[in-house]
Amino acid sequence: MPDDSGYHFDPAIIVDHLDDLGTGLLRTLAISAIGMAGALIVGALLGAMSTLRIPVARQLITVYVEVFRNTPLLVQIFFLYFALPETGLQLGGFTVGWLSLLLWGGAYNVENFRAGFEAVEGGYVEACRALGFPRLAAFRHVTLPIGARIALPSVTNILISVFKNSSFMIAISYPELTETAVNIVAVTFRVFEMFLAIGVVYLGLVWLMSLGARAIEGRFAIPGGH
Amino acid sequence: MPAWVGPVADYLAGGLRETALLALVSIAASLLVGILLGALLTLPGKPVRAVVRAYVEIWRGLPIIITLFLIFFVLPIIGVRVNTFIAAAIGLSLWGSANVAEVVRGAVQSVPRGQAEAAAALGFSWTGRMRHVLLPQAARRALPPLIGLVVNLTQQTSLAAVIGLVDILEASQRSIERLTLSGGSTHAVPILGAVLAVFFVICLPLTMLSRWYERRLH
Amino acid sequence: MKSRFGIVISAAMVLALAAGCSSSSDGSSSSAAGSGASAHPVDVGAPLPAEVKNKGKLAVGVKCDYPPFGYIDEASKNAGFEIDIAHQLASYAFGDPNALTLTCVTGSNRVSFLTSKRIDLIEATMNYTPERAQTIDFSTPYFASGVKLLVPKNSSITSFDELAGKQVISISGATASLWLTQCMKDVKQTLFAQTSQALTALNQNRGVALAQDDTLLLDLATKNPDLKVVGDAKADSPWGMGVRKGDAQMLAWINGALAHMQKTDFFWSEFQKAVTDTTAQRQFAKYLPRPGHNLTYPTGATIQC
Repeated sequence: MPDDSGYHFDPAIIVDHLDDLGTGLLRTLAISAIGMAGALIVGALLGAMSTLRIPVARQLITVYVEVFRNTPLLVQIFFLYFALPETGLQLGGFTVGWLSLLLWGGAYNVENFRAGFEAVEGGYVEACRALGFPRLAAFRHVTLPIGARIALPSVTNILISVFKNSSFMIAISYPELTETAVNIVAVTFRVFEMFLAIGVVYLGLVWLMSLGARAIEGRFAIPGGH
Repeated sequence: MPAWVGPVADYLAGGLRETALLALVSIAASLLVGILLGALLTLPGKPVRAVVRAYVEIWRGLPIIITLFLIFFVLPIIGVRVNTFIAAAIGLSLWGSANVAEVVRGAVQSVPRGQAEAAAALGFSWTGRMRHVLLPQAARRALPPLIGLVVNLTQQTSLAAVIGLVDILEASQRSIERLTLSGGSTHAVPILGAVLAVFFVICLPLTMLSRWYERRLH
Repeated sequence: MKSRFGIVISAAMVLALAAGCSSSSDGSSSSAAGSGASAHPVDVGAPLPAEVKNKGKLAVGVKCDYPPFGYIDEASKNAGFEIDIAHQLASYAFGDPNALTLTCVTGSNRVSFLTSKRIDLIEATMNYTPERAQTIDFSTPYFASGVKLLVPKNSSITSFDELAGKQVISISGATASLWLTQCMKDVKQTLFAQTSQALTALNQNRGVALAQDDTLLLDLATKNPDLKVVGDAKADSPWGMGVRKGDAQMLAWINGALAHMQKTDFFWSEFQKAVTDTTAQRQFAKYLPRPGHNLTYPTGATIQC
């Protein structure tokens, strides 16, 4: 009696396509790296501006944050790539890749940083102001360093999510790792080997990033808690 | 109103029902399983914690798309075949429960140690401590991030489109497909814009609820 | 606080009840009844496999982005030449053209759907290739196509050779993509899952040409006057339906059913309904099985450079 699906496990298929998979992985890392860096900077910058209550900027930042946090990333990606050109702005696959990740991660990080800044004990800032520091300087020397450290765990969490969400680019058929695997399956029909292989790769990289995050958090931890 | 709007709106409405159903099922399963696992993560015994930790790391570490592909295309190889909706629900719930477990663990462990120690000194068992002292306090701290996870899960249901579930995103894609191929314009901006708007309207109140509750906590 | 949460929870439950009232879809949609049903199954010379008989429905994977062979019409139903054939198969099998579950598949996932038993038959514009025949079994042919190029009206490209080193759009898993991978390795392929995405990409100049089956491109060019079809047909090959490897009973039944359709000239009459343009009808007539006119698979490689 033939076995259920006639599936013959053949790991050699991974070796055959190592070239393509490697290129796919590089693309994943590229859009993730730019997306993560951008999300970090955007989050810190806009989070600071929001905390400092800069008049018009604060409202605009709120709109940006709420739009990108309350809509699915997948739909944002479709919109940026397929719909935006109708308004005249056409972006390539790579650009949509890192830009969508940056905008999504940045929105969440604005909230994370803002929460961190606002969690800084009011007493520290008051003492600083009492010593004659202007508002901006007080922020730079007290709120920023302490608040950023408080925000660190949630920020690294989002950055790792940015990396995982690079897989969403199959929506626009950008050939990062997952899309490359899907295209190989389209021709070879080897679902098990392909998805198992890239699953292991993602898990491994996420695990490494988590280790890195813990290390950074440990290094920058505020002694005695905040 | 242009002629194309009617059929598209109908099709999207059907997709929205699927999205809502999938979201509710996944949220319920994630909360139930996640809270249980989160509590287990605070157990003193190492073996249980190790198993749960492995579950959490795997389903949080894998991109959801990979999880969905594994359940939908790979499981049938060993004879486990579920339909598209159940595959999507399982995939989302694995991710959701892993994240809920982490939130619950963090919340329980953020309750000042003194509370647990005092309860132990008073003679409460582990279950008693959890039930009467730790969980009620942890629940308050866990609520804002949990609401955030609920919002997230609602949005992640759109991923079910990659295995062909006709949720609101897939419905919008098929509508755009039909309109594009019949030679007219794609109408991608209004259609995708409508999908974004629907999610926004559903998720914003929940996000604001979480923010409001967080302020109440402090 | 408690009352506010009560409101949220009740709202959620009401939503759940409302959502629960809809039937849960598994990604498939069935289309309306085709032509008049015979009340009884038709004997095609081979028995219907017991597993399929017990299900009471024929599970077929079809295209939803390939007009006029398989697409979704304005009423959100599956429609097209292949869908009409599927209804006829259901009539032969169960005496009811609606004893059918249609699942949308693409060039990249149709085989995975079949091997994971989510469908029992692939009827999705699938060219025969010896490579595909290693994983699935092909029925007797029921149509044919070759690969051509869709380009903007003002494009200077007239043949495949001019694609060297350029960006070409295609569909993941399609014969066009296979041919380009094998025969024009310097072409940079941008592969999409759906036809409309590929078409939109072409209109946005994300590639110099769209490589796909001539049957599909002709339909697209008819509806998009600023596009034209160029190039001589590559990787010409008949289409076959796919069944799981070793599923001999299903294969025998399908072949019997197809032979029956050929005898009754069903393909030609349905094709004329799907493709109303008489020039196109004449052009593709030779690709339809008709009484006294068989289609055969080529021997050897179908993807020849």
